[in-house]
Formats: sequence, C-alpha cells, structure tokens
Amino acid sequence: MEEMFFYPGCGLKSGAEGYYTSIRSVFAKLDVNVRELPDWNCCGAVYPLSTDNLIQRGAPIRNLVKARSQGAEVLYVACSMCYNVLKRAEQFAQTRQEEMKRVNELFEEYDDYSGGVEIRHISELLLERLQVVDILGTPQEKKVAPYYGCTLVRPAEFAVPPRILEDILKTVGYTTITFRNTDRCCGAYHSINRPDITRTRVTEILTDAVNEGTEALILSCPLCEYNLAAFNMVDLPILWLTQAVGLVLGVSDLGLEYNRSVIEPFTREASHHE
Amino acid sequence: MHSCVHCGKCSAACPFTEWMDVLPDQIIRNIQLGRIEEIETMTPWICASCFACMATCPMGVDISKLMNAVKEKVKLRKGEDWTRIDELPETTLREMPQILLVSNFRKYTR
Amino acid sequence: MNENEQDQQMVWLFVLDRPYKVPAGLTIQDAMEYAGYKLTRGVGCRGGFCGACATVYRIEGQYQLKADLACQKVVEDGMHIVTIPFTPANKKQYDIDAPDMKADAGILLSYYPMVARCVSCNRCNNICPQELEVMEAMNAILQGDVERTARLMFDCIQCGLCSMRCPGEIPQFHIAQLARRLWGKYGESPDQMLTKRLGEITAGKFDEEYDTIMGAGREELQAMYDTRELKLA
Repeated sequence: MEEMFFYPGCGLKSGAEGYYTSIRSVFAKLDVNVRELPDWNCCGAVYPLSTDNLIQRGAPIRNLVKARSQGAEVLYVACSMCYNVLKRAEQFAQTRQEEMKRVNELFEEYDDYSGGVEIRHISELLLERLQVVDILGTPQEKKVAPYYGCTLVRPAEFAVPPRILEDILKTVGYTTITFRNTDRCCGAYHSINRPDITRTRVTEILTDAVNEGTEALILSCPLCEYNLAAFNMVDLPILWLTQAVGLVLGVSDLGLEYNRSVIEPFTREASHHE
Repeated sequence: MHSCVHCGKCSAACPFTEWMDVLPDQIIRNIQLGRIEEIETMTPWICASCFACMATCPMGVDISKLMNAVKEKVKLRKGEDWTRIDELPETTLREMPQILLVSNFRKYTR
Repeated sequence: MNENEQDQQMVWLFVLDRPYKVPAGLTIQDAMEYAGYKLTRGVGCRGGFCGACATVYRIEGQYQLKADLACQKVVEDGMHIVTIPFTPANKKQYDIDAPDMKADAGILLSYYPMVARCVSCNRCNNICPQELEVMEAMNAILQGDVERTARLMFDCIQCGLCSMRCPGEIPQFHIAQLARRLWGKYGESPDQMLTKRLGEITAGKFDEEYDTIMGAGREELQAMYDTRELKLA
C-alpha cells in the first residue's frame, strides 16, 4: 500500500470534515494510506506577499521543516489555500537563501531548511491512482462543474495541471461542465467585513453554473465552500472533489453528513446509477 | 511596476471593481506618481488577492503584491486595522470557520 | 563587607538597573528581599505554582532576554531583572454555565478570535517557564481540538509571559484557562474524582472540619499547624 504524507489544514478539521473523511475513504479504495503530518501547524491561509515581513514565512515553512524531519519527500495538501501557501513557501525556501538564514532562526530545534519537500495537491495523486488502479465509474448523465476558485490555479507558476478536476471527474464517469466563473474569486475573506460582496460574488458564480446546466459544484477549498454554502440561494449541491469521486466508485463513508448545502437527491442518484 | 503600460486589463479582470473607489490601474499610476499615501481609497481593502489581475497583465506586473504593499505600508502600519477584532460579535464568530478568521486577520489586521 | 559575605560567594544582581551584591544560591525572589525589597505584588505561593512572580532577565554578556519565575530561578552573576507581576492581557467575561457553552473550538474563538492571528513563531514555547507547548495548544484550537488545548496547557500557571512575547497579541494563558474549563465541564469524560469530591463538599463532608478551623484562636491554630501531618513527596 502506498503512503501519502498529508497536510490537512485547519479547514479539514473544522467545517470541512466531509472532505477529510472522503479523502481517507477514497484513497483507501485506491490503495493509498493517508498519513497525517504529526504536529502540523496553521499555514497562515494566505501567502505573505510582503517580502520583508519574514515572521509570516515561519508558519508554512515550519510545516515543511516538520515534514522533512519525518522523512517526507512529497507532502500532499487538500485545501486549495494551504496548497498555494505551502507550495509558494517551498519555492521561497529553495530560492531565497539570505532571507532563509533569518527564517531558520525560528526553528532552532531543527536543522536549517533550504527546501526539499515537494508540495502536491491531492488531485494530482488522485488522477494518477485512478489511472493505475483502473477502477472506472459507470458513464452517467450527471453533469458536474468543478469550481477551482483562485489559489488552485493562480499564480500560474504554482497551479495544478490544467483541467485536472475535469479529468478526474470524467475518468470516474461524470459529464463535466466548464463554466465562465470556474476560477473567479468567491469573495474569500470578505465574509467578515463585507458579506454583501461575498453574497454578490457567490450568487454570480452559482447562477452561472446553474445556467450552464450544472447539477453539482465540485471544489477543494474550505473557504470557497463556506462562502458558497452560506449564500447558496439556488440550492445547488456543493460537494468535495473526493466525495464526487467516491459516490460513483461506490465508496461508503464519504462524510456527506457534514456538507453545508443540500446535496440530496443528487448524491442518491449519483450513487445508485446502473 | 514601471513596466505598466496602463492598458487597464487588470481593472477589467478584477471581480471586485464595483466596490472599488480607485481602480487597480489607477492605484499603479498613483504609486508611479509617488502620491499613493495622499489619496483616500478603500481599494486596497477590497482587493482579495485573487490574482486575476496578475494572470491577465500583459507586462507581468504583480499587481496583487503592489496592492498588498499599499495595504501594509499605507494602511496597516499607520495603525488602521480594517477588521476590528474586538468589535466582532460573538454570535457571528461562532459560525465562522478558522480558515476565514485566519485569512481575514492576516490581511486586515496589523 | 560583613562576616556573612566573606563566608559565601556573592553575585551581582541588577534590579531595574540598580546593582546589589547578593549571596549566590538564592532565588531571585529571596535575593530581592535580601537586597531590601519588600515584595507585596508579584509574589505569591513561593513554590512555583501561582504564576505571580514572572520575571524577565538578561545575563551580562548575553543578548537574549529570558524569563522565569522569581521564586524558582536562582540568581546568576550579572543578572539584570525586571519583574512582570501582572500582564494586562485581554481577559473575557463569560458564564461557564450558560446554556450555549460546550467544549467546542468555536466557543473559544468567539471569545478569543485573535487566536487566528498566530504565526507559529514559537516565541511562546521559548519563554514558557513551565516548558509547555503553547504554540501547539493554540494551533489545536484552529484545528478544532479543545481537548488537546486543555491537556497541553494543564500545567499553565497563568504567569502571562507567553502573551507578553506574542507578536499576534494572543492572551494564550486566558484562552487556555477557558479551554480547560470547557473541557473539564463539557468534555467527553468529566473528571470522576472531581465529580466525587464536589459531591462530598455539597453533602457537607468537610463542614465540621472547616468550622473547627474557622472557630480556632491564634494559639490553637499555631498548635494545629505545628503538629500537622507532613506529606513528603
């Protein structure tokens, strides 16, 4: 059984438990053991864009240091925001030696870090395993649309492979829809100060998806999921990537009870196809 | 920043311009003219660092980074937090996931 | 130099930058009293449990500002100190018996949302005189694990040094206290011994003993104290 070093992030522990549950179940079906990085800490959720505020680099890089100390060569991340932060932090560690001298002082209990842990999104391993294991879902009429949001695809340098979510969903038998707003921001952290902005953004995204014939929205970002579900005026089912995959592969225990939006009857129909 | 040709594609790509009083390309112009600290604007708060501007810029300007610099240097360092943590109602906070609090506080508090 | 000073080794202690020659081997607290300070605040149990005597110090020739408890840390030569008897950190008022209270990270975050400002810099761990994993305890809240916070911070003595050091201005010690209270009261397994003892107190098991002590005069109390049962660890 293959093992994947896994960084869940705070989202998957609080709010997005359905994502974590379905990751465990689906990867178990694909013969991959999910090994959670011990003692991981919050990555900071947003990548620090200022070059001189080095203390904010500490949080993501500390996780990389811990991963290396566990012997991890690759660290898999499920949350889009964590993925972006950790992937950019790894590049920072590899390329910014001067700044890293100072950042490393934060981790006195560990050897200095200068990169060495590859950050990958779970979708990358998911697609690879689906191709290797050769379990295919039955082709079906269900139309689903991936919602990438921002941090999975931008900046381009740190993006997951193009159309990877469509590829995964097609592989297991869905019909996919790529809609205009698939990578347009949901309003992110505006939900505290200006929920009106988030509401407008979410309504535009969901309306667009529904107009294109989408029956369920598939995503991997806990902040997007929170916002989309909070302002889901059109009652579009919103599912985690691994839940959508698990449904058609006949995987049980997908943590569907945690979902914030109404997902029936979509999930029942998708899992009882012939 | 100096390579900006003011084509306005960033402002066209930005999903948040309807709430901005100064458009992203105008922010760049004000930085170029050295008067960014003088203008009154909400724009750096409204930017959500979604990188849509950066992805569309033909000159490869990292506009999100510039916007962040304006936010940190012009706003936050003058002690102006946009999120007043002390004033957030407890009932609201109970509903909010950690990822929202962490990202918001990172962007909007000193 | 008196006779006493000739007999034992003396070291220099600087209190708020005033130099005092004090006997080596004393704790900071005893040394301050030796130097003539009458301690009324910033002193408590003298046994390392109450957290009242947090003290920041630096040793001459070293750049680090370190911290410890004045009642535990032994003076070193060239030690510069300032006591931190109180940390004006934000402490929230709450009703632990309120119907919506539960052992849930959301409750902690609703009173102390600034936990989300943690940058995992580890300064709190470095300064903690109890050597607790404070940073991990704060991260546990972000991960929704109140039990872990409560357990990691079980030995917290509320000295407040962590929050003095924190770049995120997080009052870790107050947060940990609420975490322990929530877990203790609403956690999956309420402490059985605590429940038993509370029952005994309510049933009046100790009333007689209590009344005897409260009714005793000074000499009687002194006699009780002198003949008390000593529990040697």
